[in-house]
Amino acid sequence: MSPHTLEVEKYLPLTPPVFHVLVALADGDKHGYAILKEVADRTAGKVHLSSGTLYAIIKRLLQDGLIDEIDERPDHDDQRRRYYGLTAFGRQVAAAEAERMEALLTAARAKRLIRKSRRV
Amino acid sequence: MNKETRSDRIYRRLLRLFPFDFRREYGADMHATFRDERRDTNVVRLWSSTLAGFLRTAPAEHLDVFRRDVRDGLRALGRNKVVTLIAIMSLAVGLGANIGIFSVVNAMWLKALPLPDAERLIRVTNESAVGAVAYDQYLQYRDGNRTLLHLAAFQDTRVTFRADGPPEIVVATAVSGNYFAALGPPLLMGRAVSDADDRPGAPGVVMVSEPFWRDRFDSNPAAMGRTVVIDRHPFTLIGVTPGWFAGTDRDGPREVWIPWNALGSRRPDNSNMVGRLRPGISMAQAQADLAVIATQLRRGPQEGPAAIAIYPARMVPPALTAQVVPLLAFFIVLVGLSMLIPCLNIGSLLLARAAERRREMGIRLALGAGRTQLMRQLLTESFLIAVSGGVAGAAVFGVTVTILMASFDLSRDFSARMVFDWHVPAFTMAISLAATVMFGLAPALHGANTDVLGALKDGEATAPITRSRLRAGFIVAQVSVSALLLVIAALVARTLNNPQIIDPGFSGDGVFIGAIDLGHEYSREQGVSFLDAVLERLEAHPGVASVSLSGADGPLSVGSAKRDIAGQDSDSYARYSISPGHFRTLGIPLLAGRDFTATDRAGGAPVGIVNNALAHRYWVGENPVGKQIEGVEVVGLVRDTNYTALNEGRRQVLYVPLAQSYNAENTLVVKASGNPKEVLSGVREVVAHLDPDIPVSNMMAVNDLTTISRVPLRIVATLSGVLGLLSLGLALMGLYGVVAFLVRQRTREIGIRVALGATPSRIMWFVTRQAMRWTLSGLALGACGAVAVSRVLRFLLHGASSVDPIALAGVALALTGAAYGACWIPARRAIRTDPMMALRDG
Repeated sequence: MSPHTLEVEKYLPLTPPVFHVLVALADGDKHGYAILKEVADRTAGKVHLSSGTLYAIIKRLLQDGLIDEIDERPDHDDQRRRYYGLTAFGRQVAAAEAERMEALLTAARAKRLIRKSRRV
Repeated sequence: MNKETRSDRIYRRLLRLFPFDFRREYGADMHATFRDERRDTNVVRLWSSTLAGFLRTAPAEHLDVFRRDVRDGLRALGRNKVVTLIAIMSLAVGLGANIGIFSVVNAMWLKALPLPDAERLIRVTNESAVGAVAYDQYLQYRDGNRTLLHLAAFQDTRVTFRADGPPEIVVATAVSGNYFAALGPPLLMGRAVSDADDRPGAPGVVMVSEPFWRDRFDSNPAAMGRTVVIDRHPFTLIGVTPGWFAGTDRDGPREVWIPWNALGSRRPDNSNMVGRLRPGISMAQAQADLAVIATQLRRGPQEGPAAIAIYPARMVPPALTAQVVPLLAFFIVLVGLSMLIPCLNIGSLLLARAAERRREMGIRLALGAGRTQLMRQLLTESFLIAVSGGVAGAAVFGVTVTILMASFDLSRDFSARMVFDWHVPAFTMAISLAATVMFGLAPALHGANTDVLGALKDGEATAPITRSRLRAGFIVAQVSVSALLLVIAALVARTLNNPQIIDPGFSGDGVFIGAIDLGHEYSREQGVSFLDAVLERLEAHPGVASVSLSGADGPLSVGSAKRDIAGQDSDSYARYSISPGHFRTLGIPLLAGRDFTATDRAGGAPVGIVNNALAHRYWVGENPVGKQIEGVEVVGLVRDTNYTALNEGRRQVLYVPLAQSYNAENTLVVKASGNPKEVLSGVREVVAHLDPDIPVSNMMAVNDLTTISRVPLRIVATLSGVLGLLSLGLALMGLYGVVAFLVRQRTREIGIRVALGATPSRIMWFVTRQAMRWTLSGLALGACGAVAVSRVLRFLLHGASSVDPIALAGVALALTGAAYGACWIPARRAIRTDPMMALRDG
């Protein structure tokens, strides 16, 4: 295992809220509320992060270098808002978590715990 | 732009739940997010999720900050291990002493009595010092009051107890029949003394404590109901109390409980009273109720107590408290000092750290770190020291108590008093935290007030180190307190090792004492001849070199009667009853006149022997032999003695013949020439042969008695010595740091001076003068303190001068030398300064 893989492994498994935040940022930089909304919409309201929980996660992810604060923002936007984006390393960690979960899912399917997902 | 709504205001308030740094970093952004959220979420859901989120994350964030501070703090403390270790050690020693003293105070005053509904238990006393009332009066209080559920009587009394082994004297508590009903302690076995047992003429019953039951009856349940002999009367064993039960008293466990009237004519005259308030009755109501009875008693034929006083049963009697206060005051001074030093040490440690980190602080402030954050970090270091010091302090206390208990057979008394309950650790942690945080605060403020530009400009060096008054203050205080403590330590140590001061005035080598109590069965004549027979037979015993007796009021015994000399003044002298041979047995030289002889009998002319102190008081420069004192003719003069305690000092003593002042309770004093063990069993055999019901108890070596009396002094000496040295160590490090810094800072100036022809001694003076000035100010302060404290110490050290010039000079010299040494090491660099190099580099 390369030292880099080790570095990534150190963060796994991610807690569900952290993973949700990383997934929310996977397709582009977002401000806090956008992250909350995306997570809520994607899970049909089942996962509802509050602002307190979200910023505790953001703080940790910033410290660990998984996300960055982005200086560019739309001109018309509220200047008090801050935008966050995935770093390359953050992307690797999120991907590694997704793979870990997939492996787990595959195992569960092989044992017929759940049915094979239908492709939409 | 959005208008600030009430929700916004509430949200901003709630944000304060988060640590400052977190709030500053993310607060505005969080608020913006919240505003967006508010637009599309319903109010109930918004607030419930927001609140839940805050309550979940805010504590975790605080913990995170704390963890980081602890990590940084440990790293910072680890960088300077020696200083940290000294600070923790001094805290540990100081706290150890504190825990010890607090344990005693706790056991005596604070701890609740472990009895059911103990808050309703009260002690009822007259307002005189003793607090006990006549038994008849007790009965009137018991029957006349309307506010008490029970009012019980109790009194300690010595009885002779005999089961299977030889008879022994034990302290029994005589209790009224309702005593156990009033107090309600749980019993391990059997039943409690009841009102029926206390009726005159009822069959004798007795209860014993668990340790007593274990020692005498092997904890055998079958012992219940068996008969034992108390003062030659049969008693039936009916119950066992738990070992901790000591009634409402706290001066050690009680062993035997007997109904008041079962003692017949030997029952105590005076009784202490303990009552249980009726439900809903206040102390004041009970007081008023009992005062009415007190007034009636005063009008009656008997002389009643002046007034009646009640207080919660868990307290020490107010009259006793007054006696304990002076002793307590001394210990409070000691405790204060023993805490002041660790505090000074920690303060100076953190101050040095703050100075060291001035640049780091400057950078952090420049980067926008809050001053509160810096302070918090410095206080975390105090906290770390406090916690480790607290734990180490508890260990020091534990080890000390273990050593003390191992050195002497005190374990039973000690364990009874030094009960650890939650008060003790709570108290320790509280003072440890309070002290360190308080003394950590000054340096923390100092650090937080760092002037950003100055700190960055000065580079790593610590500019204000010499200028800081705080720093100077700490060094002066450390030097003065360490001087004070070292003087005390030296004074006490010198006293303990100075035969002239602690000379007991007698030789205890090979001398044993034991209590012998004839009880109430012997008349005066019978008693005198019995004791004569004991002495005669023991004199003839092969292993006995010499033997004598002294009365219960005599030397080497508990309690001593003091009398006023009629018509002279109110000062009192001690009156000791002794048998002939007392002085010979203890090797006390007779200076003039004669010893008592067998002819000094009851009915003969009253004679006495005075000691030097008494002779000196009344007949300065005259031979006291032949003089009269209170109708007693002085026939001899002996030197002064300190029988048991160092503070007994030069007590004035009149010895009188035991035969002329007979007492049933006596102390047997035996000087052994042979194997002490054989002599001890020989003594028991001789007495048992004359009367198997007379016990010889508490036999011990006289030298053990004197050693025990010195334990408090040894503790004082060790404590002040260790604390003094630790404090000195830190003061020296401080001095070293100051001089080293000065030399570094002024290399250029020193170079110029050297170039201009300054001699090495002048250079030395130039760099060390400030440090030495602080040292000398500290010494002067410490010496003044030492003079004041040693006056207090005279309570413990009779005969020691209030100022011991040798101790004072010795400590002053040693301290100055050490301080100079600490300055000299860094100052050498200054002397060796090459002017060319210094001018070029500087």
